Formats: sequence, structure tokens, C-alpha cells
Amino acid sequence: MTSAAPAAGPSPRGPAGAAPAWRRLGAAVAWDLRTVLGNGEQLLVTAVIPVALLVAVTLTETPDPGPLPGPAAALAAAVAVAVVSSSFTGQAIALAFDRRSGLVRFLVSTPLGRPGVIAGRLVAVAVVVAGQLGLLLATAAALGEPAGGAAAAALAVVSACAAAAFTGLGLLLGGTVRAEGVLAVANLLWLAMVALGGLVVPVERLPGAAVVGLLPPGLLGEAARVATVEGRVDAGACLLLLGWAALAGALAARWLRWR
Amino acid sequence: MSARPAIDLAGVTVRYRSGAAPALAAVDLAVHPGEVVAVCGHNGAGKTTLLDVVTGLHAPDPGTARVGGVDPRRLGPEGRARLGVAPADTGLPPAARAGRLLRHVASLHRAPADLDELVRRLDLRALLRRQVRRMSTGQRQRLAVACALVGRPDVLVLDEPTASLDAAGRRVVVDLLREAAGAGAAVLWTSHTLQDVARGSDRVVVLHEGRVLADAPPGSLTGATDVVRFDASPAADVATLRQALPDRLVATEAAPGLFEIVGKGVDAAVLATVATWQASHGGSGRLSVGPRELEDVLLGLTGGGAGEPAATGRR
Repeated sequence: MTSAAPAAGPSPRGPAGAAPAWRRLGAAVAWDLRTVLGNGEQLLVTAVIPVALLVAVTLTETPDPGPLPGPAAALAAAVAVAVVSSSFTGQAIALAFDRRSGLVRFLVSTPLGRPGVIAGRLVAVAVVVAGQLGLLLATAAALGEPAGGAAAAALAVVSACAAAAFTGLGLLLGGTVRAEGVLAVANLLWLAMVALGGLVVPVERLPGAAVVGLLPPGLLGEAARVATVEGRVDAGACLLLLGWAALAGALAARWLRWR
Repeated sequence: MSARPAIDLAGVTVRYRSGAAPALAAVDLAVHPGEVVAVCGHNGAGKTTLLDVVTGLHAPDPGTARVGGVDPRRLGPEGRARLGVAPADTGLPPAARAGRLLRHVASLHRAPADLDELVRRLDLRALLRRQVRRMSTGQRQRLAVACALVGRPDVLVLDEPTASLDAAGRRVVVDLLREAAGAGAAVLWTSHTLQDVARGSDRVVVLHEGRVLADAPPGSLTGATDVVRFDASPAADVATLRQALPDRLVATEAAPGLFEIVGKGVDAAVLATVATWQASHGGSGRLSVGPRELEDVLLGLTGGGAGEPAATGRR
């Protein structure tokens, strides 16, 4: 029998077993990141649309800004849309199709397991959100409207809290509904959040502001505007976002189906 | 054979919806280290559900499942590292390239198998840069088998790994399963054809509508028993044929106009007798002789009430 023998027992390659946890996690994160970066639609919603939004709103010259926000609010809107795109829409659709293809079902039988599959996605989202934030801050600077250090730091904190909430909601949707339904619902919700959820337009100008302001997109939009305009963290909004993260995570843990 | 089975199912029942017919009904099954056990049954017989119980995707209710002595739903990373799973050909990510998928699975293991050797044995070299969605069913099956073997598991679970393979591919897969068992692995695999599993398996479990109808060495199911199939006028007097044949052979009308003889020792004299009878009873003169297949075994086990009629589905 050769060393390739698919075998238990002694082998020159050392005893069979799981790779160390950090290597398993690294492999899962790398897999998920390559999936995002290698997928045109995912790149469109995670990078192209937010950057285009930032450029368009920043460069639009209007004598009276009216409903259009100034450059600081434009950055806030772009970051808010970017975070929702990657952590909610992207996650929900990716998980739903990975469930349908059988990938998730296969991976939970490997050393990665259920915790590894979820942890890999959470870390990959964190990496993508960090990349989006960097890209948008760089774009704002290139447009001659750089965010200050305090604003950038506050944006990072808000983005992290919002990514936690929206990833939880994304996993909840993508893990419980079948793929075609997720595709429709996730894209529809993205549109609704952009138009009516407070991601772009300040909550006070929206119908049902009292309610919208307590929902995740409203909290994210307002906290992002506070971060870019006032250069501080809206602690109340961040705590509420973390509350949403805990709720969505608990529901996802309970209802998530692996196939 | 060691005392403790590597896979041990006791009274396993699975219902997808309460009140619905069970997908598995009180299934007992043990696979010991070094053993290759095939689960054979029609589509919908419960084969995949059975494998899902072993891999921890389904909880038996009631019943118990143990893999290496542990509830498969509670296996940790080390326990799962010893479990190699080949999903059905539809269970691989369509956008992934074969080589990347294999390397990904390998990276989850401390000391994976030699990928080059695995790729060579399963003839995957030319497919490594191909996306799963652009691969044929047989190619996907070989990739799935490679994924199962990458971690050098001591419990191997494979869902229809040979269903769309040609003879050479089937031989390679069966050889790999035998080698794994030779090195101490417990192997559980499924197929919907009995001939497919007869060669490589120590035991065959016949599953039908969620129940185990037989759990026996393949030889005792297929045996030296042959089946002769031929046509004649519907309701032709088969009793006259019985009288002309030796007692060890049983002639029946399996379906209107389709007749079968089942038994051991079908020889030239028997075939001549059949041909003569067929010619005088409105037959076409065509007949086929073959080993018993799953249908024949199911017919014998269920008294003829199982599944599709014997006359369809395999001609």
C-alpha cells in the first residue's frame, strides 16, 4: 500500500486528525473571501455601488442642498449601504445558495463543523467591511472631502456594531428560507432599506420615523451620520445594534437549517 | 473484527414531518472497523437519510446513532476529522474548482492524504481547474470520493459514489474503499443497484421504504441464482413449463406476457426447454439470462408487493 492509502492507522504523514483551529478558521475565511471577490454580483453590491453612491452624491452640485446631504453625510450613507450590502444581502444570498448546493451540508461534516462554518463567515464579513471602509475613506479623500481621524474611528466602531447585527439577520434569512426566496427578499429589503430605512435619507424625514429609528438600518444610518458629521460614536445606537445582533444570532442559532 | 462497531445505529426512526410515513423505520445497522457495508435500495428508500443520521445531519427520533461510540451530532473537530463523507453528485458547490475544493478540505486536516496520489488514482488530473458545474456526473462522483478520502478517515460514508461511473471508474472506487477497509476503516456506501455493490462489499443491507429487509453477505442475496426473462402470450399456461423444468427452478408470469425463471443452475438444457415452450406459446424467441438484481431480491423479500413491478425499470 502506498503512502496515499486513504487509511487510518500509522502513516509516514503522521496521525490523521483535524488541523489546528486557527488553520481551519483561516481556510474557511479564505474560501469565503475568494467567493466574494470572485463573484461579479457580490463585488458590485459590496464595492462598486457604495463607491458610485459616494462619488455621485459628493460631486452633485446644488445651490441648495435640499434633501441631498453634504459630503460628510454622503460618506455616512455610502458606508451604511456598503455594510448592509456585504453583511446582510451578501451573507443571506451566499448562505442560501451554499445550503442549496450542498456545500454547507458537506462542510459541517468536515473538521470545520457548524461553529467553523459560522465563524468563518463572521470573520470574512469583518474583513470585507474593513476593506469597504478603507475603500470609501480613500475615495472621500480622493474627492477632496477627507474624513477626520475622529470621524473615521467612530465610523469603524459603528460599522462593526452594524455588521454584527446585519450579519446575524443575514444568516437568519439565508439559513431558513430557500435560495430563490432569499434572493428576492434580500434584494427587496436592500432597496427598502436604502429608500425608506434611513441608510441614506435621515430618519426624521421618513414616514414612521419613530419606528424606523429603532430598526437596524435606521440605527446604522443615524449613527453613521453622527460619526461623520460630529466625529463621535452614538453609543445608544451602537448598543441597540448589538441588541439586534444578539436577537438575530439567537434566532439563527435556533432555526438555521444546514440544507 | 473489533468488538465495538465504528458505526452503530439502533432502532433509528426518522420522520421529516410528524404524522408522515417515516423515512427510516426502526433501522438497526452496525459497521465494524475493516468492514465495507453497502446500503442498497430504490430512490426514496431512505439511503441518503440513513447516511445523514450517521453524519449527524438528522437526529433519530426515536433511536440512537453512534459513530466511534459518540453521538454524531456531538462529534468535535477531531471526531469529524476521522469521518470522511462523499456527498451525492449534487452535493458539491457548483462554482468551486475541483482542485481548490480538494485543497480546501485537505487544509482542514492535520495530516491529509497525498493529494497527488489521490488525484492520480481517481483520474482527476485534467479536471483540477474545472468548475464543479462543468463536470459530468461521473466526474463529480470521483471528486466527491476524493473529498471523502482526503482526511484519511477511519469512518467512510459515501452516497452513491459509483452510480454514474463506467466500469473502470467503479473498479477504482471499489478498490479504494477496500484499501481503506484493509487499513482499518469502517465503510458505509449506498447504491441503487445490487450488482454495483456485490463485488466490493462484505455485507449488503437492502433498504425499502425506510425498513431494512435484509442484511447479509452479497453472495447470499445474489448467490449463484440466475433469472431468465422471456416473453410469451399473456396468461400462457406456465404450469406446463414448470413440469418440463427441474424442480430447483421456479417459473412465473411476472407481468402480463412477461415470464421469469428464478433458481440455480440455468444451463443449456434449461434454455432449450424454455425456448421450445416460448415458441409454442406465442413468444418472440428472445430471452435474457442474468444474475439476480435488486428487483429480484426485493420481490423475494416482499413477496412481490415491493416497489415497481418486476417487469419494468431495468430492461
